[in-house]
Amino acid sequence: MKKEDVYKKLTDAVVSGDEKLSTATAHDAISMELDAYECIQQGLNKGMQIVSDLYEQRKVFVPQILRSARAMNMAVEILKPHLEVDSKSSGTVVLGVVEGDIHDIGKNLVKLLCEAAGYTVVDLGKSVTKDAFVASIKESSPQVVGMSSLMTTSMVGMPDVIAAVREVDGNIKIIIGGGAVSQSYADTIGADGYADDAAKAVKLIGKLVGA
Amino acid sequence: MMMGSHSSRDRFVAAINGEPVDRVPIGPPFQGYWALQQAGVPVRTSIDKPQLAASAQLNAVERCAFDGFETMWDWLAPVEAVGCTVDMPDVGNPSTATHVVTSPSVLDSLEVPDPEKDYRLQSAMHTTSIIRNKLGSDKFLYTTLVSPFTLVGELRGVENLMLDMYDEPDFVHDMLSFAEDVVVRYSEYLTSWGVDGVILCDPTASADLISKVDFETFSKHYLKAPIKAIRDADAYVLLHICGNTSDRLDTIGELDIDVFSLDFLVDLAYAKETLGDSPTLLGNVNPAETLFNGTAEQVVREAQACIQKTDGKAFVLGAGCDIAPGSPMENVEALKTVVARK
Repeated sequence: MKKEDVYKKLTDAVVSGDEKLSTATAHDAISMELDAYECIQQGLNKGMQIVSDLYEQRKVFVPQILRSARAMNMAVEILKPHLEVDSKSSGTVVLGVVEGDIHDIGKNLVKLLCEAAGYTVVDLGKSVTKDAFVASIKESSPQVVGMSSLMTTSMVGMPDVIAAVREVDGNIKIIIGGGAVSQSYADTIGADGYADDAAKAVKLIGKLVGA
Repeated sequence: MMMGSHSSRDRFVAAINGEPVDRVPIGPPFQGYWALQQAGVPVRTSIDKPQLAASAQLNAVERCAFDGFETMWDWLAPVEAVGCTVDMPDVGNPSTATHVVTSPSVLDSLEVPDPEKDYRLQSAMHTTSIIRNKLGSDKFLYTTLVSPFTLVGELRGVENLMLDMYDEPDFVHDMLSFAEDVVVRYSEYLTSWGVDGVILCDPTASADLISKVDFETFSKHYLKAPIKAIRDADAYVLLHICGNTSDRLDTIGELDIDVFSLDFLVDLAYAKETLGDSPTLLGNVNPAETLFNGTAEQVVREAQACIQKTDGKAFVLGAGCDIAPGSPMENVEALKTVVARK
């Protein structure tokens, strides 16, 4: 098998959410002494990018994304010990669902896709208070903070978080997303960007950090 | 005017039946948490003190001239009653902190909770009774309740559920059967309060999360028993699903529901074209962009467009989802100026 074929098999395994195929192929790659980093970049991440685009077009849905992410992560675990150097992080992103929101699925998708794109993600979980955002950015000095709110009942806390983050570090880019918010809401509260789904959020982060 | 003036309740019921109305009725559809916030009543206090919770609603309802509204907004009460731990914020929905169904064997040990022993439901019952005593049968009153699929998402964790749907579909159907029993039991109990209807909410069945086929298999199928339970109690059935449901309106229309509450992402003209006059549509002013963040003028323009798209027939004017706490009172009040002009 040529290395291109291995990459393609990894890509296909991620797209179809087949963790058996992804892990078996990762083992093949190691026995063939292929470069682990290239396997992740050219194989697995490419698959996740395809899934992400399909989700943007609503050709696949959240269960498929989660299966793909699982197939990718399990293969990454196998490849990781064989990485020659720590792959360079594209940057650090702090993510959280604002206080009072019960839904974190959108944020979790952003996390998966960010990690696939090479970012270090600090995940604060759901119903995150302003103080928790502040404590986290002091500790991890991110380039981007992402907040999401699926429910209209929780989006009202966003302006306070933005003010608090700006006070700590005016250079941090702040983006928002989730079913309850919009581009115009982002403009009004002074966020640096808005994305209406996880795939677009990762592209937006790339733009903001100049990747 | 073609007909004598309706009471609020008659107007709402006429809209449900697709009959002529003296003016388009207003149904928020979800004003509960917003009205609490307007009155400065924290969520925990609203549970402890039904009198404060009821006053907050009555005040908002009077100012906004709602024709129908929720007398119970604590739609996630069963989540805690089944055994999850929850976080109770001052404003807005309680969130599920731990998901109780960690394995199939845990599911086997769960019991359908007794609504009589659910403190949140008992509080909502008192609140509803205070509101009913005050308003009599003037307004169309409904209670808001989680649907089986969304309930399973809370009991199991939404991501686990999404993976289980493909890994272990039988387990998902077992969880859904349990959740169906819970929602039927709660629906029967809620209708015993003498309210006019129950609005079932299924945000996790949003088209942003699952496909149309999965919606039919995992959400729609399990809505049928609660819908029947509500109907058997001679109450009206309302359904709300978040997100853009355009691709599945046809299959939603096959459910035996009286009102479908649409999120702002669905074009009302398209919904009307697809569904006709049954079910009656409720919606769908943008809750974030317009009601929360816009001006009263913008609310008026958008509400007028909603009425135009439906000819005001078999239609209830409201928001596309929850009215967000913090939405200015004058924006919500603006809805009544639109229907008054008709």
